[in-house]
Order: sequence, then structure tokens, then C-alpha cells
Amino acid sequence: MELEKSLVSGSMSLLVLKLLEGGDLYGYQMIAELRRRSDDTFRLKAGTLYPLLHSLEEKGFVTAYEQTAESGKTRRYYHLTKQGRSALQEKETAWNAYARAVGRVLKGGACLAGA
Amino acid sequence: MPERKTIAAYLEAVQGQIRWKRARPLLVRELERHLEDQRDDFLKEGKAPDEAERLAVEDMGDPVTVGTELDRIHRPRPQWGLLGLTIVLAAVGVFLRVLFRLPYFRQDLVLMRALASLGLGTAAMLGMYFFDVSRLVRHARALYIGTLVMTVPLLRFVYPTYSFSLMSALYPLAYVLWLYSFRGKGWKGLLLTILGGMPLAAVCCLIPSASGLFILLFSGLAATLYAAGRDWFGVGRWKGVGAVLAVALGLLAFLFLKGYLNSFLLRVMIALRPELEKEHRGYMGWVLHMFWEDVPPLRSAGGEAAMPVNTGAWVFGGGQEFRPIDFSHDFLPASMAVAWGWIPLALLLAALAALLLWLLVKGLRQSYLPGHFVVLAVVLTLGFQTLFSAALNFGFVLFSASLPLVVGNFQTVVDMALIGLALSVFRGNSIAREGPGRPIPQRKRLRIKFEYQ
Repeated sequence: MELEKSLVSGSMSLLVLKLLEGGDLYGYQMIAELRRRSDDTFRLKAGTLYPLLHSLEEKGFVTAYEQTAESGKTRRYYHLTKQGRSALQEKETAWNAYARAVGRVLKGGACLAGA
Repeated sequence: MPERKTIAAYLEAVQGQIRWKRARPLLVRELERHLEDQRDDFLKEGKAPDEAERLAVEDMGDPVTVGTELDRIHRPRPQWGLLGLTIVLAAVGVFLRVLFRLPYFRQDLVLMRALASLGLGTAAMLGMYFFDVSRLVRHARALYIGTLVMTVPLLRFVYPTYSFSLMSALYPLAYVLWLYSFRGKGWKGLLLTILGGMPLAAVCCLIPSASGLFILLFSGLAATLYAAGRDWFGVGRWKGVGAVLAVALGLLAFLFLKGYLNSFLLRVMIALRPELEKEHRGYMGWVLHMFWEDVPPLRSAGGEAAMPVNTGAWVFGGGQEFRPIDFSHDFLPASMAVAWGWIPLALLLAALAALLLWLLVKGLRQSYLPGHFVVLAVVLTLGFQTLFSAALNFGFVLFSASLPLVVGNFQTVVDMALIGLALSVFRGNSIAREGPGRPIPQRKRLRIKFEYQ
């Protein structure tokens, strides 16, 4: 299913922070993991991911470090900070409230405006 | 839009959008690795090499948009406010050195030398400000050894103390770089870190330079405790702190058993009560105490008790004047207080303290860990110099110490270079990268928030 871009972009930092909650990842892994966990719904472009990761790093939500993988390639891993963890909690709470509200409206059926 | 089908062409297009040249290689490297991974996966799926590369590039998104976004995030952060404050303080130092000059120096050269120190200091500060601080970290051990080797020849000088006082300001930085190089090296790393302080301390003892030694010991202890508190060596936070404190206490016990501590405590007592030995070791302190008895908050220019500027002196029977600065240049602040009152001196010390506190808070808030250590070394060095100089000028005469940015022409150049180095950490923080290894757990951030340009 193709989603509207605006639907995804607003919640992208929430998704990235959530991915990092499970452990440190590098960019390529994040894209693959996001696709897997969303049943191929979220196909994040790398060109969108890296500026997002760098801005999260700038805000102190993640830190990055380089580590050489078994393949011999050096990867840049991202790590969720304590500050990032509390930002994630806030974003999750806000998102759940938003999703519940949207859900209630969608389930409401006919418009009652003016009633 | 021209088609960019190869990784090289794509990366070139991204780079073209990033204005900060120093940032380009760091940012592009990460994208390049991603593109290579993606290409390799396409190859595994059975795609031809050219097609695999083209698909990887297409998957990445528009290079201009990516480059523009990265350019927006990664910009040098100018530190003009702190650079300006440093130059202002150094200019105040020039003014004071010219005003409170010693009569037996060539008067025509005093102003020229002071101005030259301000010019050289500003150049050194800007040079260090634009310097990539990660280079220091990459060559940490070589720089430690280099600093040590550079100062050893001074031991052969007949009067090495003055030359060494300039170099000793670099010792805490050399030690901190040495410390940095033992990240995650366990107990062996902690032991080697502490051992690394010993040759530096030995040179201070041989020169001899008490202020150099104490600044090194206090700064070294503070930096090692800070590192251990962040589990820098990977031995456990509390175990590391406990081991560092145990070594410090062990050293004190050793000095006590050897009898050095007793003579030091006697010197401290004389520094506190110089009148007890006013004709011998307490003479300088006793004279300063006498000066301070007559220092008002502010000496009015037109008042009865006013002293002409550049005087603040006792006038003896033969018309001969004596001022605190006549003991040595280190007493320039006391001379200023005697001439103008203690409020101008308090303001000068407060400005220096504000600069150092600002540096420290900013240094510990930024994310680049090696930068923490560089800033810590600079702030501890200049902070202890300020503290010791203030103590000396208020009559607690234990050992000599120059007020940073104010006393000494060459000393001003060294101080400004150190501040420029600390500021370079903040300027390049956005692209500062640590070497391989897992991140050290972050401590709770300082709550103090400064707004600055």
C-alpha cells in the first residue's frame, strides 16, 4: 500500500527513535528494519534518513560512533540517548492521542456538524 | 536535472551543496557506504553492475535535496562573542601592563611589546580557532611526548623558570591528550594514564616550578576523576573513581612520610599568617597585607586619599616609591587594587571567571567527547592560574602565578592560543566525529542554559 508522503514524514523521527530503542543501528539497517516491521509499507529513502539522523544528533536525541563490522566495513552506528528516550516517550504519547482522535472521527460515520 | 547514474557523480552532486568544506568528506563518507551496501544487495539479487549502481543511486533520492538538507544542519558555529570577550580582556591586560610598568624597563619598548603580544595572541587564538581539533586527538600520544621533549632542554638553562612558565600552561593539555588515548583500555589504561603524569610532574620539580606542578596536579586529578566518572577506561565508574582517589591519597601519604608535606604545611601557615615571619619567609605576604589595609572599594580620583594613576605606592623618606608590582609582574593586580580600589580588581577577576565558566559549561554541553577533555584542560589550566594569582595578590604568598590574559606578554599569547583551541571545539562540534568504539554513557546534562551567538 502506498501512503501519502505527508502522512509518513511527520512521524518519521518517531519511527527512527523507536527503531533505536531496540539497539544501536546504522542507516542501511534502519531502512531495512523499518520496511520489515511495517510489512513493506514504509520505504524510507536514504536521502531522507541521513539528514533526519543528523538533525536528531544535533538535538542530542542520538549519538553516533563508528565501528568496524565483521565484513571489514566501517559503519556509523546511531545510539539513542537518555534525552532521546524521553523525547520518544513524548512523541509516542502525542501520536497515540492523535491516532485515537483520528480513529474516533473515522468510526463516527455521518457528520454531526450543526446538530 | 542532469542524470547522475554513478555513485561518484551522485556524491559529487551532494558535495556541491555543502558549503562547509571541512564537513564534506565526513558527510559524504556515510552516504558512500550506504550506496555501496545498496549496490551490493542489488548485485546479490542478480542485477548487472551498472544497473545495480544506477538503482542504488535512484533509491537514495535527489542529491541536491540531500546536500541542501545536510548543508542546513552542518554549519560552522561562530564563537565571535567569546573571541571578542577574550580580545577585550587581553586589551585590558595591555592597558594595565603599560600603565603599571616597571621604571627600570625600556619605556619605549613597553607599549610596543604589549601591543605585539595582543597582535600575536589574537593571531594565535584565531589560528587555533580555525584548527581542526580532531587532529590533536588523532595524534594524542605523539603530542604528549612532543610537549615533554620540548621542555626537557629547558632544564639545562641557568634560569629556566620563566621559559618554563610559558610551557607549563601546556602540560595539563598534554596530560589530558595522553589520558584520552587510553579510552576503554581497562586497568592498564588507567595505570598508564596516571604514570603519564609523572614525567611531567618530575620536570616541574626539576625546573623547579611550584605553580606549574600544582596546576598540573590539580588539573590532572580533576580530569582523571572526570574521565573515571564517565567510565572512560571501562573498569566501572565507581571502581575507577575509587582507584584515582586511592592513588591521590597514596601520593599524599608518601609525601607526608617523606616529610615534604610538613614543610609544605609550614609554608601554607606562613602564607596565611605572614606576620609570624615578617622578616624572613613571610616578608612579601606581610607587605601585601599592609598594602591591603589601605585599599578602599574605589579610590576617588579627586578625593583626599587619591593616589595618582600608576602610583598606588608607598613613598619612603628619600622619595623612593614602592608598589606591589616591584616584587614581580605577578603582583600587577594588587598594584591596580592599591591604586584604584578593590572593585576594579574584583570586576576584572569576575570577567575572567565568567569567561572560563562560560567555556566550561559550553564545553560540557557539546556532544563531541574529545572536545570535553580539551575544553576541560584549557579551563582547568586558566582557572587554577586565576585562582592562584588571586590568592597571591590578596597576600597569600605560596608560589608565583600570573593572571591569565593580564600578566606577561608571552603568557598572554599562550593563554589566547589555549582559548582559541577551546573555541574551535564549539565551532566544529556539528561535524566532530569520534573514532571507532561504542559511545561512553552520557551523564545528566548541565541544566544551566546560556544563550549566545
